[in-house]
Amino acid sequence: MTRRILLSAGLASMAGLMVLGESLPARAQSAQTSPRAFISNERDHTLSVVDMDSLKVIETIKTGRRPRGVTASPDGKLIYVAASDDSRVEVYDSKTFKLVKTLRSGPDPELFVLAPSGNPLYIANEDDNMVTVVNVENNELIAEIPVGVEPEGMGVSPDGRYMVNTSETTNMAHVVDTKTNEVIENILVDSRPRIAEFRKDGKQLWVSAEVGGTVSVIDPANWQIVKKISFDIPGVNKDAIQPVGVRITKDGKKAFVALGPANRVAVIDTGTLEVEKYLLVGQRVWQLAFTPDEKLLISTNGNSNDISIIDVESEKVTKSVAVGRAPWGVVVVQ
Amino acid sequence: MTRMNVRETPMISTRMPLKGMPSPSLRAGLAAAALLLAAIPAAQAASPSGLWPCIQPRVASLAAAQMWDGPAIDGLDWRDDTAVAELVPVLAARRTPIEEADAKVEAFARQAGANKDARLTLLFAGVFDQINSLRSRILTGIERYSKHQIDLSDRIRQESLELARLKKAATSEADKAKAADAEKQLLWDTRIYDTRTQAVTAVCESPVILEQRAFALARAIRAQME
Repeated sequence: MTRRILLSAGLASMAGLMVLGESLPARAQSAQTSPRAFISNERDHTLSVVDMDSLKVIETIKTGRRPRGVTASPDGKLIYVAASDDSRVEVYDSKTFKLVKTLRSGPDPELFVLAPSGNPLYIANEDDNMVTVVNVENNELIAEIPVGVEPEGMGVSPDGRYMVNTSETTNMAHVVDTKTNEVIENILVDSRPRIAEFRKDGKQLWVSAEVGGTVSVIDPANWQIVKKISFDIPGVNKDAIQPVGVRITKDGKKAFVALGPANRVAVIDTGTLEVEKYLLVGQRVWQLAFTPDEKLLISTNGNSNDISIIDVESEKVTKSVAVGRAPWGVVVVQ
Repeated sequence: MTRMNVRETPMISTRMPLKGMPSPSLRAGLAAAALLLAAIPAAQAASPSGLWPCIQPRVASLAAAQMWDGPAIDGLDWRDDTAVAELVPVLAARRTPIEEADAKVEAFARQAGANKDARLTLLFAGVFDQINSLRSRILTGIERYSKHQIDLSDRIRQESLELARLKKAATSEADKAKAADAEKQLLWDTRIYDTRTQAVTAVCESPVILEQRAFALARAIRAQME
């Protein structure tokens, strides 16, 4: 039975690729070689597609209700969107912008992470304190892992061995062994942890705490906290500094942390773990994503309804682009 | 079925090293404590009078540093620059569409002369000052609104008690007419109360809209600086 489902899913996706190749005019294909950013607009129930060369919105895709987490398959062909209020994951073709399929998600999916191989998908269910593990090929439920209260942030180690979930109310990062799908460690961090992000060499795990106002840097060798980074912006009240999104460059040298209503992105040296700079972006900055070449970083600004474009090398904000209402998540594919 | 089986998998297993999570009951306790802790900042954010009706935290005043990374604006007297003093109220006014405001900032920058950056800083100081004080007045207004609702709900309670009393005691036609009048007043007050309650969400949005405007203007002004 399983084999038949797999086989039919495989045939269906092959057929899909063939149709895609034939139906797209050559001109459209070449025009789509520039990277595209997909931004989920929580209040508009849409995805904005931004061409990263022209920095223009080229398409607005209608999605399920309250889209939040967004990620892409490793080959960049598929875009996964957590439609929180419809309790499902929607999968879009990154070139035709068409809905390819929907996946089960468990209730109220907020954020998710794909295994580095592209399968399975680990989904945080904010309402029922679970992480749902789904096979993206056949939509089968692989496991449900009980975690802390209000699970949100999802990270996976570069080798795929560990998945880390943060729970906003329990204030913990839960480490899951992906072979057994069982929690092997619980790390107490500061209040309301939102994001877990591994450095690409797997030697650091960063966990942001929105209310605590800190980022805990954890050593995955022993799951101990190496340092808690705190932030200080002259003239900005401490309460407004709420770390959420974390992204680390592929070379592992530089980290960017989105600071919520402080409207800044902090630039951090991952060696010294010191903040080097604060970049003024838009209002209530939450999530971040690099372009595939890592020349640009995008921030989603939920209250100014736009994204900011940051030049990674010069560490400067170069432009803001208006998107939908309450932009939440972002992913960029080539 | 799979769902059931997986759900039954205990999170706490003796095989696993568990730090800070010794037992399910303690874990529930920890979660409850965390909930209580999480509630504290919200309570602190409430207005001193306890009248703040919005889900958005009450932030008494805006911080310039949340929207401005240019030169400091403390102590700047923006009214001394006539052109700035004239432009500030136009930019701050919500009836000026933001695109039009952007164009006005650009035109100001073109004619600002040698001290362009200093004058643009003054312009931001003015806009920030005006919007912040308008916002403070709105916060006070929202609390007045809230106070009025509380008073009205007290009145409705009194009126309904009075109505019950009147209805019970009514024997003559005159008494019945009196009760009918009281009932009409009660219905009317309830209707006002309900309409005003429905409007709270929109009322609470106005400080947010002002903050968005201040941010957009700050960005437009900063973009004109070298």
